Amino acid sequence: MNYNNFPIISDTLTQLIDELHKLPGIGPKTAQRLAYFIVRQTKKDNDDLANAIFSVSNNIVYCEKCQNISDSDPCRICINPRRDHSLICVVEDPMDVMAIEKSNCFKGLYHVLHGSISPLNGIGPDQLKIKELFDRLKSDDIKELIIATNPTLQGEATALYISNNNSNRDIVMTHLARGLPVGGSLEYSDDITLSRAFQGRQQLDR
Amino acid sequence: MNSIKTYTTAGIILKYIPYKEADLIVTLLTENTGKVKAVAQGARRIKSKFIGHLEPLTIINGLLIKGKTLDTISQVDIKQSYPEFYMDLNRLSRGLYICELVDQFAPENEPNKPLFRLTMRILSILTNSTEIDYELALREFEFQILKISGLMPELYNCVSCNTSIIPNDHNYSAVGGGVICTDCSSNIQTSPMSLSAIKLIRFFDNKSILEDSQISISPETIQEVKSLLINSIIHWLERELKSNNFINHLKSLNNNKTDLETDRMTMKG
Repeated sequence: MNYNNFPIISDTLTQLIDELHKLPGIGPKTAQRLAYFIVRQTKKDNDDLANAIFSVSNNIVYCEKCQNISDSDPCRICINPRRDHSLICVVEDPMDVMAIEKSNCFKGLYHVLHGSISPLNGIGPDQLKIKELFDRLKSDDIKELIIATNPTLQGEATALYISNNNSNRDIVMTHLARGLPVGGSLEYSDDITLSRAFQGRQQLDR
Repeated sequence: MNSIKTYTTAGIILKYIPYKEADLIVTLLTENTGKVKAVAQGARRIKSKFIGHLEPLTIINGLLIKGKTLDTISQVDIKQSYPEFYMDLNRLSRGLYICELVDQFAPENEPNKPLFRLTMRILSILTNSTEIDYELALREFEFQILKISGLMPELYNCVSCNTSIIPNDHNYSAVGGGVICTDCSSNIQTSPMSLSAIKLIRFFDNKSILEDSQISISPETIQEVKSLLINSIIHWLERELKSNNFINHLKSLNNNKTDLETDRMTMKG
């Protein structure tokens, strides 16, 4: 929304409201509220916020190996000698890397696709970092590729595409187990999740 | 007092887009009210009761609450899901192509039972047939969706001079709206149309492959009919079909693979 038609608001504040309104999920009213909140903040808080935004646009780079967002290229994970460099976990978004790292269950490397194949939205393999993944599989010494795309139709399409078109047949390809979430309910499970949960059932320890 | 208006319906999930923090806006083709857009609150949370129920190409029974602009999905039960789409990228790409066609041709909130039945039938064929069979069925689907929408190409008379089309090779004009006889084709931009292509589309009009007919058609004719019908679809929609680009991408990859295999076999021989 353009607020230039309202001369009672200062031009500086109008510009701030316009910029905030561009953020996802921020409507015109929320943008106004946030702008007035920023006006009432201390100068130090506002400087910190401005510096954080400034350094994001100036310092953030994409790691040439894993395509994740990082402060350095290659990123900290890719150059860490204590991680298993023969394992690559393929994820859709940088947020997925954060979620897996938080779980502390994986010590290999990542590859971020920056989305998933979505033919209905015109997103094909060429719009994702799939070519970079295939190049990496040819050049690096990789033993296993773990596909951790989301368990949605788009995520499955991406996983199928990678598995069908990977020319390096020596690499073991796996994908994350499908099944029931902890705290979930059988009653509300869909057919495909339930059948995969049965396929992946495990023996109980006695 | 406000009364909440709810309705129960069967529906085919066509697509969804993320909405707010964890919601989805789902587009579905319902049996009774046509294409509907509805919000599924919290559907992106991993423990949501909607998880796995609202993926495209799933047939559901749903309880929806009528809204001013968007309805709200209250309860969902899966009527039929197709695991075949999760295992075969070729079938999946065709399934999404069906979703895009239905989404583009079906107007919102207008009951369209013939389209619902047609879509249910084509999804069943797509998941239970060989590639040559489902490709043929898809051509009939393209024709039938044009026919249901009132945009059926003219097949019996020349769209320019209105003379009856004699059994021969002719031309086709998407802009003109059907077959053009050889005498008139120089005036309008056309594509060549073989006699077998005319016969096949006329067959779609009179009988139905989707209703268990067993006929054998050459892949070349199926491809020719596809390009003619796609031209008509693009002409009426005034836009490219995004999912068709993906199908073409997969086809070119498959062709490359086949060429490589042939080269390998030749070298071995």
